[in-house]
Amino acid sequence: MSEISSEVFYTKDHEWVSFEENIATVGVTDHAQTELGDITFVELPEDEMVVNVGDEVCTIESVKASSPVYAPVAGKIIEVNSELEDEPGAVNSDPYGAGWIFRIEMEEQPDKDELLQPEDYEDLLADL
Amino acid sequence: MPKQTLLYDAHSELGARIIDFNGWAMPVQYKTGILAEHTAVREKAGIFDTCHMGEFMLESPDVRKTLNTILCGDFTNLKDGRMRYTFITAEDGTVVDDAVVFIISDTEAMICVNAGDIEGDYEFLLKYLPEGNVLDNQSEKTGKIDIQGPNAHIIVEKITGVDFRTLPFYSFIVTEWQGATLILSRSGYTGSPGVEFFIDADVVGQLWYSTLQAGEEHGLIPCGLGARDTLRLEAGLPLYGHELSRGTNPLQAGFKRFVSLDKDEDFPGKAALKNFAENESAKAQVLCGLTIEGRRTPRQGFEVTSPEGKTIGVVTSGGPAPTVGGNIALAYINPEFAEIGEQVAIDIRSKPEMARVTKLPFYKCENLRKNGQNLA
Repeated sequence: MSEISSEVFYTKDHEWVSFEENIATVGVTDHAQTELGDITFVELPEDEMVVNVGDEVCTIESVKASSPVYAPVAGKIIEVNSELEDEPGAVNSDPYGAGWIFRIEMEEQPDKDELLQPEDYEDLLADL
Repeated sequence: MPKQTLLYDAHSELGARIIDFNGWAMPVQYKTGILAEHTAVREKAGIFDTCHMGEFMLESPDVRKTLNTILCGDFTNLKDGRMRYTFITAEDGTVVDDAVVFIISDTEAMICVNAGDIEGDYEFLLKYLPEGNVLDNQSEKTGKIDIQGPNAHIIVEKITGVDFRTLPFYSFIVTEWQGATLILSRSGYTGSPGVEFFIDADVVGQLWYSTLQAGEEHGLIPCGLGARDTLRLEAGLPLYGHELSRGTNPLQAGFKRFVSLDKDEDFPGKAALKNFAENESAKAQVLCGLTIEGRRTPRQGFEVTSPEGKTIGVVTSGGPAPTVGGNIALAYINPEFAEIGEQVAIDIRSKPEMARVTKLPFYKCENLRKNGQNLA
């Protein structure tokens, strides 16, 4: 059974997002990393890239496949987790912590109704 | 519903992740993950369920002659107890499947084929089978397990009493295990030394558990199709549906030595392959190994270009190479770019990634083919 953090929001594409004032931190869920298997490389987004909700921001390479990561909220990429360049496996071992991927600075408050609550995400996984 | 192999329940118990592979419910990996399974095979040992593969038994007044008639290799001088890699080719010379032939005696042989279309392969071969021959599809009745890795010989000897290192590479013996007939071949699909076991379906589960148990202290772990794929890619071995298909022929894929255009017998595709060899091969795309300089991974279907960006081919398999490091690929490319060391590029998500044509295999184990007792 995949771990679902109760402290973050989710997308149906298996990203998680947490908010601190107008900064959103984004990663992929425990379910996503399990599905991907051993992650070999995270192709991080470019700094200052401006993104809309649902834009493909970067790519995770696992042994078996390349998988896109989408922006859960709109804004500007202001930070990427460069630790992942040497330790892509952190996405496997600690998806909600050291495995975070990028931070988005938002101009406006995100519409949190568009995101999934932990319970909703749990339901989504149960239906897979 | 995908078909289940004889060992399906064992995989569930071991916590395998199951995927649909060509209509078969197969473990892609166990709890350990693909990288750990890959490394186990290169450094210690791994066990694979390959029960999904097909086995046809041929009874014939002259097996070698019959094999020469239905397959593209020349089996005339292949001794009893020896195996040979070969192709089932269609009239147009393209590949219906790749296969391994086992010569059991002058009148008996086994043909091992891929899982993807066992029934199709069987029907195809029956069409060309000369009168007085019997080809029996024994796939459902036959279990298959591969044990691969530098410690495989210790484990196999513990279970069967046979030190396979005394056998030449690509040969086999017919023996007995728990009262059932066991074909033990020194072969595999990983580039590491090991064996393939063919055994009665009734006892394959018992053989699986016995091997797991005997192998535990020697670092043996169960390995899924994910590791099987990274291992065979490093070893430069083709996979049907990727490097081989009804769109390519064995000559393009670099298997000239397994295609006999000189033998007396006619076989499906002989005329087309002869024509290709004489008139088209110089211009045709060829299968090459590519080593990628960057960290992004090429995948099947990605375009190969010249350094200037002109399309020159396509990737058939790609992935990380856990043992040799970096990313590698197999690709069909235009012959003028197919020289070892040539610089090319792979279009990965609309950005070029530089690559170099590399001699196959990417990974070479010195002990793979060696005979003797003193192998590491």
